Amino acid sequence: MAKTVEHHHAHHFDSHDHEFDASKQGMWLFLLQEVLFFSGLFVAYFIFRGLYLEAWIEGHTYLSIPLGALNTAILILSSLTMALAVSAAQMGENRKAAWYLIGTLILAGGFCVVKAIEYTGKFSHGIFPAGMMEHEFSNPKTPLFFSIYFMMTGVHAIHVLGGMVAIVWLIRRCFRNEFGSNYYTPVELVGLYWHFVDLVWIYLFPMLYLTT
Amino acid sequence: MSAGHGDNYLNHTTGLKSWLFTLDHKRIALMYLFSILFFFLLGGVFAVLVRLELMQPGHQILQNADQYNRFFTYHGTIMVFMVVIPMVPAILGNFVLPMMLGAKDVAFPRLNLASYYLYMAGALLAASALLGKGVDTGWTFYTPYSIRTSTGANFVLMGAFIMGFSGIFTGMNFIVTIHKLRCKGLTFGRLPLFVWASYATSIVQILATPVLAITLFLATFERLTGIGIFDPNLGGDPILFQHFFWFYSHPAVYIMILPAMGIISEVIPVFSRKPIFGYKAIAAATFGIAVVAFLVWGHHMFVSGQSNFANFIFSLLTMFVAVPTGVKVFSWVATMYKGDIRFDTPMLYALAFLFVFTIGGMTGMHLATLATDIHLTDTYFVVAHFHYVMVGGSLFGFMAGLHYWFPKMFGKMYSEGSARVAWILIFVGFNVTFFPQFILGSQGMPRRYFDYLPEFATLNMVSTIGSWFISAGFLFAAVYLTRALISGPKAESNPWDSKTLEWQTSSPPPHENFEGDVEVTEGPYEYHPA
Amino acid sequence: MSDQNHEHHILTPKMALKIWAALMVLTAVTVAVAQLDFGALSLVIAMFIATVKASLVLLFFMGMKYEGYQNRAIFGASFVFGLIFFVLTSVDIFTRSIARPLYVEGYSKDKPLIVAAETGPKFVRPWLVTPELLALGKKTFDANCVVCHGASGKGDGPAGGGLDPRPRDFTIKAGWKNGSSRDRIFYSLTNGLGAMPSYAGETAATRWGLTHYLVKAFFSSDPGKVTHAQLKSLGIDPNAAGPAKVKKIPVDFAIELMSTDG
Repeated sequence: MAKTVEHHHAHHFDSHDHEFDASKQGMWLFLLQEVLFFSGLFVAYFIFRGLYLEAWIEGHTYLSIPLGALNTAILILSSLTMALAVSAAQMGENRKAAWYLIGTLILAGGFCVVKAIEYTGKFSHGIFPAGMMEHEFSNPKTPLFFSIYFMMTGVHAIHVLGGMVAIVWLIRRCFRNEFGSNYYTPVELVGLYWHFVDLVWIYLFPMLYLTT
Repeated sequence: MSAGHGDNYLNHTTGLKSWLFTLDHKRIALMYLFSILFFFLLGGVFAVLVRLELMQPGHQILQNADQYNRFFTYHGTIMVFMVVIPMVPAILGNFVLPMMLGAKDVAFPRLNLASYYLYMAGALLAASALLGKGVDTGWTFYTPYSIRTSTGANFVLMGAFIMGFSGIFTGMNFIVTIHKLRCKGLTFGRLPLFVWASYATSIVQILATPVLAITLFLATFERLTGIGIFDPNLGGDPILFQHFFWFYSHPAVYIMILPAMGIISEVIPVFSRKPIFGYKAIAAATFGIAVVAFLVWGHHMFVSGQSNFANFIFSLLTMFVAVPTGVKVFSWVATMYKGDIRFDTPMLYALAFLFVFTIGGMTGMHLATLATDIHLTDTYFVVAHFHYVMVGGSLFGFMAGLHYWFPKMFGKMYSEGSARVAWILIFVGFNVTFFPQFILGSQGMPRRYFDYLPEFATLNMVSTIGSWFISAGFLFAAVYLTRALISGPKAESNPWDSKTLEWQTSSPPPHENFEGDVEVTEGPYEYHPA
Repeated sequence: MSDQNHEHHILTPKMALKIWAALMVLTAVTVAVAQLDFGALSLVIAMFIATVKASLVLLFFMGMKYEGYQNRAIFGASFVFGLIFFVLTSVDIFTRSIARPLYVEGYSKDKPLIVAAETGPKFVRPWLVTPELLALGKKTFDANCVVCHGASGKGDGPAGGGLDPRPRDFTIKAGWKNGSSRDRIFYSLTNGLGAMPSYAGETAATRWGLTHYLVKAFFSSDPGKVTHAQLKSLGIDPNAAGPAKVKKIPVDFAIELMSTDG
């Protein structure tokens, strides 16, 4: 196994651990604000669901539970591969980490493909956000359901894409043997972010696809 | 790497690139200073134009009501998002906070630089609307008008979205810095109150700003594709937009005031030569305000169509914020009692703050009370109230901090005589501008109106004249401060004889803030009257 | 203050696989449970299962189990404030239809202010059908009522879709909450019913016109003329000659009518 490249911690920290602790806390703070960012969408969802339950029930019948469940399985598996990548990086096994990250990337790509299939399916049936809606529904408020569906899954998908960019960056650094027990911070931080993206979907799936 | 004689952060490296790509929190603070002052000037120009239009009834200098709508929108948007919200944290917080902690920098210097560039990118994007069709929705962007208006609202919505991340990253940076980079001996109980204030502000920033982000995002998509959740034509609720908007914008006003209060907590003990009264109470009250800030946003919506029950709840909760605020005001006054008071410029601004902020805060009670708010809402009473707390509060606090830390930041001293002249112009001008607006509002003059009934003419004339005094005061301040930078006398490292850590190093500070290691053995306010 | 060098917890592949398996099982459970109907509880159950899954991800994959109090407080705080956002917004949205009690002197729901309302010079006894009243009724119906009750009077108007219960189907005899005789229709219009606001702000002639139009356009059989006893129970003096005295509606009442409509 090639020797891990030595990492020099920033001058204002006392040690590698000091830097790692600070960086990790920074990521937890970032995830805090992500929770609040998504909370706006969750509030909109629950408010309109409370007001127009019939519309929500009608809307969800247009969503494919098998595709949604598939995406859920894909993301959960990607969390596994990401967790294994972090563990590998922690032990200095850069090659292994790189391959787990590649697996995560492929799964993330798969998620996006399924999403694209769902979206194009909707568009071909004339289902768009409310302002562009072409399809007729029996409940006049059902277009609102789809607006919220597109916003929630769309914003989530943007986060998936962002995560994919970060994972590519990590793969590159793994192939340069940059990580080891002293320094694996970037892998840890991207890992936290990625699990959070999975976490959001864990709620989106039942809320959007399984409402009864 | 020890600093050579005369080596400080300003001359440590030279060249434009060393500034544009700097990771030094002190240089980033200065870049923010010049950017924010530029936007302050721009926002101020629009204010003066608005007041010129309102000088007399009827048409004055503006072409029509639409242009008036644009001008007050620009004034509000620029002042809120580009000036007052970032002002104290980005400039004084960035410069002073790490030094008060005995640290060499903030936790994430590269993130800090990114914060600055996000601020600039967002501000320029928002300002680019000025070059096109402009925006006429008011800084509050209420739907459905903001969905329908054909003006350049998208630029401002997206510009504010980007600027929001600047604030979020700064907040993240400060929290981790305070948690992880305190020097030896600096326990939480020995933190200067400016640090406590910055801490609470940062927490509010990271909790509230993302909700603004999603609101702006959804509003933009409402305009682009039609979403419907805020648009009654598609089955949505415009009042829901107001909930989303004010969930951020009310805590935002505490982002504006808490750091300024932190400055007051620093200045008063130093210039009274007395320990701060009620250190723990002030720190606790700061956090109390930060928490209550999130429970009261509906008081901006009393007549919007919000339910009666919600109106009652929000009015009740709003009353509570007066308690921790009062604790702080009384503690500051008690600090001065039997102190050896020196009326240097920072103290003059702190005293002005106490007077003006108290008026602003008390008039908040008139607005919090449901029955009186029905009459006062959307009148000039509200305009006067928020200018008293935001200008009189945040801006005067900033001026106190700027004059307090000026010698530390630049190693030069300004002319005290000139500073006092500017202070008089600003303090008197401010009250002449805004006090009449309380009266105008309670007599029924609506806000955001291009014109008004003849009975309001006299006080409007008075208010406009006041605006000229404030402008003169700030312009003069720019003059004497610039003069101090260029040719002012050299300042000592601790001209105010203050006990906090930033004063225990040279002025200007060296690149890494301190020579050698720093250790703290006592609290920051151990002053004892002679 | 720097932290001591401490052991960083490493998640073993075995543990990671166990968590993954648990998450897959719970996903299958949530899909299966969604096929059954638990009514309002369905959402609660689904959210509960999602929270269990989220907790597994949070505690083990994200390492929260091994974090100190600072990072736990940070993440916990985000949910607290997200909840505040939802709760206080709901406090507004879901209490909008609760009407305030009306503080208009002399007014009560059982004694509508119909006598006070102007009938207009042409309509002396508007409870008697005339062509002018029918025309007024049709005009008013088309402008105000079609949106919920539909042009066919079957309660299928576009705005009525989201209402529960749905707007009255005028063509059906059964299930009229207040009754379907002319005086009862007038009563419903005056006091409001369900999601329909009170139309006491319209003149009495308008309300009678609507009543007559409803009967003519949608009823299969005529419920008959309004009797004197019925008029008295509505608070109307059947012997009043000429236009009724004009009394202004109190401002508070007017504001009430404008603001209590959901």
